[in-house]
Amino acid sequence: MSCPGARFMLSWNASKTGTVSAKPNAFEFEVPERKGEKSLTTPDVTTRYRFHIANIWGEDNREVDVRVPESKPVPVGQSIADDSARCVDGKLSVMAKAPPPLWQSNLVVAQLTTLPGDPHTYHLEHAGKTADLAPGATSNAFAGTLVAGDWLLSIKLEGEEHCMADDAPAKVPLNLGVNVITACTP
Amino acid sequence: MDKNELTQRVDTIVIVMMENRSFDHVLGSMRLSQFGGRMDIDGVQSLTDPNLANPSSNGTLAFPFIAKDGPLPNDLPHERDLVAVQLASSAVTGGPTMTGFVKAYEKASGTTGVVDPPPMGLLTPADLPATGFLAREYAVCDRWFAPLPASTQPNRLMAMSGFSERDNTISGLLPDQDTLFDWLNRHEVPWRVYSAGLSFFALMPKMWPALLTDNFRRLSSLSFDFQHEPASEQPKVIVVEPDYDDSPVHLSGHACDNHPPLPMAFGEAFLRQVYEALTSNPARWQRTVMILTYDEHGGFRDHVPPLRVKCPPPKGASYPEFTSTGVRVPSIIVSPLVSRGSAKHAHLDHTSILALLAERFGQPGEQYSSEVAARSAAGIQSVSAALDSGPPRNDIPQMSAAAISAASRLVTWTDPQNAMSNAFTQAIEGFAKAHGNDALKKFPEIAHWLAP
Repeated sequence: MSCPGARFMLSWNASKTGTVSAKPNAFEFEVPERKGEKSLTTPDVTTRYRFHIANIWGEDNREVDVRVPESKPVPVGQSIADDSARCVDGKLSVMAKAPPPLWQSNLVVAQLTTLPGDPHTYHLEHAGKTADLAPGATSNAFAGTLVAGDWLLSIKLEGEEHCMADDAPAKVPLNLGVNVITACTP
Repeated sequence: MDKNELTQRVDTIVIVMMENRSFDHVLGSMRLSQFGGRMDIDGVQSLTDPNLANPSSNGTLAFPFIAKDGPLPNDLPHERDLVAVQLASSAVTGGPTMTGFVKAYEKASGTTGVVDPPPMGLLTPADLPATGFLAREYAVCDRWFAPLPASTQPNRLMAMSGFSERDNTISGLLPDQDTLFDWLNRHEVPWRVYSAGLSFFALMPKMWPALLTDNFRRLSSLSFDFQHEPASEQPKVIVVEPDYDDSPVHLSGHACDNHPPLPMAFGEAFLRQVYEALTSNPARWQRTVMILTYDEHGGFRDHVPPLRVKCPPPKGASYPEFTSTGVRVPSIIVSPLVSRGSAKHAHLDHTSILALLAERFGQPGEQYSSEVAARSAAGIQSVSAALDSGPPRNDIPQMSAAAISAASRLVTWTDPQNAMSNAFTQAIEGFAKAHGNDALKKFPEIAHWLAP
């Protein structure tokens, strides 16, 4: 995972010289040495670099991806079927873990939003910080913290929602989640 | 519809059971405004509803998405242990949350964080012209569940018998349980099976002699028989079977049972063929009830929790008791005895068909069996609960052919290798060995397959 604009090193070790091409930002350069490296700038999107060699008997390729985090929101959440789920005194909580692709040390939180259509106000705990997030609102409270780690998501039950009682089964949301928008720190 | 009216109005009951799709996957999109806005159907109201999401094992939430019909990357998990993962019981609610379909898929496929995971896909009426047509023109049952939270063999045994000696699908022949055909024979009710491929009943050795009789015919003769057979020779109960994906022998060229990874286009063409055959005789169609359902959900997500219906193992079986039905499956009553574009909310499962047979062909008050009676006492109704009272409709809606021929321009799929395909292989080999030339004469395709 690399941030747009950051420098990275592309290295190769082949039996002969060849060419390197990239997709989707198409470009190509000749590789004059069998073994070497070249400093490149991380593009804006995940890009596949392909080393190609050919001789009279055939051809061969090797590929490597330089992954760039997407800027679209990632819904991070958990089902209330998870062992971490609790429903006590009208409050429902669950522990979610940010997905492994977001565990990079150069990925930080930019903003948080609630999921579309979720009517609940969330209380969030992550990386030693806390914040409340109203429906449809955006929060910068976790800006700059690493995405990696546990996210404690809690809501106060609304309207006819309630935890399980002796005389009534629970009526609660089945999943808790928020949208996480990340930023890269080159 | 009560027994008296059932007797007066229904002569023929046609049972069509396809393979491995959930209600939401096939019919759920009809509730979305862009695909019909059928608010009377308990389907998917919003693609962004957090309650309909399923968490991935990597921490993201996967939402239902509009899928295109086509070959799937693999089969989806649907054995008992992984169905339990799919139902995802919660200590908070004390019941299933229906949020574990993605995790079960990831566990079975060794993947994680797949974008648009297959269990969350919703097909649309545009992709399913035959199913969409039948749902628009007849009655959708949105509370029809697979009887058991398990796979093909237990659920089909429930459909055949009302009980199952198995709780999982294994690489072997089916136990010789008492079937609906035994019940019909005892009640002197004529029946017949029309198969597009090798019959599922071939998996039951006791059925092998019957396979050689005129009771088992090819689908290609259904239309002629339905139009021309004299009343005295007409079967009262007809089972119409697709060509099964798990069978190594395909009598119709390719499978059409909708079992993943097979696309559904072939199944759509099959359904059109069945519908056209049955409606080709308007007088007989007036007194016909066709029941279209699926054996089980096949690993696809559905949002309605199963019904709490206990099902202990029958005598001689030793698996842990089931405490609920399986997942909802797409089911449509196709008959002049249901109103156009209606939705039925009666609690039904495959044993509801057996209850219907007992209601229609049994003595007054007679139950199909003690097992089916127990399910009835637990709230599972007869299919008659989904039939309208009053005279039949006179219209016979015509299905568009062009739409299906376009959709069916899809690749065929390589036959799978799994427990069910092994069971089919054993059935074919056993049947051919037991009945020699008679078997090969009736099913020459078997000889071709057996040839070294």
